[in-house]
Amino acid sequence: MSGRGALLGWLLAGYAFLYAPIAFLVAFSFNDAKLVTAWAGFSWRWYGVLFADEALLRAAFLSLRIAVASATLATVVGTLCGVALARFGRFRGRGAFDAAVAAPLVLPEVITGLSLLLLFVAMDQAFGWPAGRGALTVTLAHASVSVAYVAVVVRARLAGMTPVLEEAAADLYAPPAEVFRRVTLPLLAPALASGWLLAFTLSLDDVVVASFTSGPGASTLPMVVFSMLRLGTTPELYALATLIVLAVAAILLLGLWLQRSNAAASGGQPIAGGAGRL
Amino acid sequence: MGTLQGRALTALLRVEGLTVRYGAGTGAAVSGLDLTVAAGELFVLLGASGSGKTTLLRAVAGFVRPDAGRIVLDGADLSDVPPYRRPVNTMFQSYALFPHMTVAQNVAFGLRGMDRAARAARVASMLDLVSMAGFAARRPSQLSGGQQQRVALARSLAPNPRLLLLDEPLSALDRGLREQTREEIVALQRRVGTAFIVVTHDQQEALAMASRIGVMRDGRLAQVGTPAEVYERPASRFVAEFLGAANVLPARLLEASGQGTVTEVLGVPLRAAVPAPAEGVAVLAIRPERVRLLPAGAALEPNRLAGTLEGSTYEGDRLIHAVRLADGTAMRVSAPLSDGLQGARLPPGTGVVLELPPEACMVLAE
Repeated sequence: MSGRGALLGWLLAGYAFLYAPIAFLVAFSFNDAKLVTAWAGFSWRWYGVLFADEALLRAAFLSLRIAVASATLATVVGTLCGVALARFGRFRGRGAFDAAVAAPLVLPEVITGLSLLLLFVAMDQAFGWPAGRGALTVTLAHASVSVAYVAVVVRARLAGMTPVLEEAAADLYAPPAEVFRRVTLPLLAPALASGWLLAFTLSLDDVVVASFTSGPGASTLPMVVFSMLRLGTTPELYALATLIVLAVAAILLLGLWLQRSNAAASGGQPIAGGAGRL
Repeated sequence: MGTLQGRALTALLRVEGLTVRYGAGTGAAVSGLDLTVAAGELFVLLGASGSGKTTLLRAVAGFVRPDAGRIVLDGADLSDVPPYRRPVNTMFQSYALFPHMTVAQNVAFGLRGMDRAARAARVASMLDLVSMAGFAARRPSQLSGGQQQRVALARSLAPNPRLLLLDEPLSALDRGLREQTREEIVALQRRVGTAFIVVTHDQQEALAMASRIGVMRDGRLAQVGTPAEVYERPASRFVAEFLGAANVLPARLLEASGQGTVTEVLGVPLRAAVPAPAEGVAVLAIRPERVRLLPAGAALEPNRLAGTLEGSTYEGDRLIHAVRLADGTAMRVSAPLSDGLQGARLPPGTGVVLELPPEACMVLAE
């Protein structure tokens, strides 16, 4: 079965192309030397260095906090946008609203970042909020970018869901708010989870928008890593990257498991997309 | 039973001049429709797809806004009442069971202002009513189509609505189950006494279930009456042909009185035991099972037409004879085989005489 063998070879080559760099990075995070070029034996040394590096750890926790807050904010606002676009039919200004919601998907990040910086400066001068630049402005900036992604995911899910279930709920005496709470929202749950995860990762690996909208003392992890890179790579960064890869893999598995159990419970199809960017 | 006189006092639903358009510039899905449904009635709206029957149902439920006209339930105008305040429940064609809830939670959804115990008791008795008592903890995805249908019925009946709307309740079931379920729905309706409006495109279903049928065409009611009325005394050629097979012959009016009508069909006088329609006669119609097939030697009296047998189709319980009349008109004659097949089959090409009894002839406007 040489055809089969060739296929297997191609498959392995594909996996190698995708994952060899990561495997390399993980391996060298355990290298007992400062240089990438030579293997000097196994060691936890760089993990020790990493956990002693307070600036890096502070940046990591700041990034996590910003990611959680901006993802949550974006999920709430994005869901409302998605519902409006999928369920409210035609309303005045719908076209403009649709374009406005989708704009961050196509705008270059540099322009988004610059415009948000200008806005925050102007707001600070006009009515003193948000005062200065820092974690709050980065959170708001990330949320404003992520809203578009959440709205797209929610809208797609709603488009695939016939309104007859919502009609049935209304027919059984549920006023609109209750229909949303008891029927629309539970059915949207997988999309909300996907949207939240998408927004979370977008925030976690963003450098550009954060660089524009952050201030002194509020450097996110990608910003710190980026500035460290200017002095050359160190195995400490590999250790950090290894931990992040582990965390992302865990979140991905959790997401998959949630989707699968949700699909099994509702008999519906699992929703693709969203977590794909992880 | 034919008229609503004497029932006016118990009229439950009145639809007056209802017009519904989907979007400006398009034709009306329902136009100027009037309808009265009495309490306790099982009213069937029968029509082809696109005839407006589902639109009418959705307007009564409150999902589409009428462009003109009123919907009055129990004397109260429903025009500005949203669906969730109308004492009307719907059983949807797709059942629309909530996939994230159990059977019991689905049935309990519409129960308001009840304490926990009362609600549980009501859910249990509704599931009992549709023989689904053992399935309370299941999810809809774990049920067969027939079981989902029962749960949907229980859910829509649980709040004890004034009026239950059923949109094609049997269309998603396979054939064997359909007849049985049809009988169950009728029995259930008799038991609970709630007025039902059932939408269907299946004339057999309509005839079997209805206390009255409304035949819809192009957004209007072509005829409203008991199953026997619409089948045996159709108001138009459309109704005659929509409700089962009909032989339609061109006819010329010779004589009309209150008692009956005499028409000329292919040079033969045909007496019909019905008055002529006001607009003038165009056609004479007769059901295949009402035509009698006589041997060629039979005398050609009035109400008898000569023809040639072209062939017969065996359908188990009956033979369908295809007969061609002298002028080329094709006729279908259905002969019951209550004594079996022996001797009933004739070779093609045999000359035959068809008898059209006066009480079976329908004189209709085109």
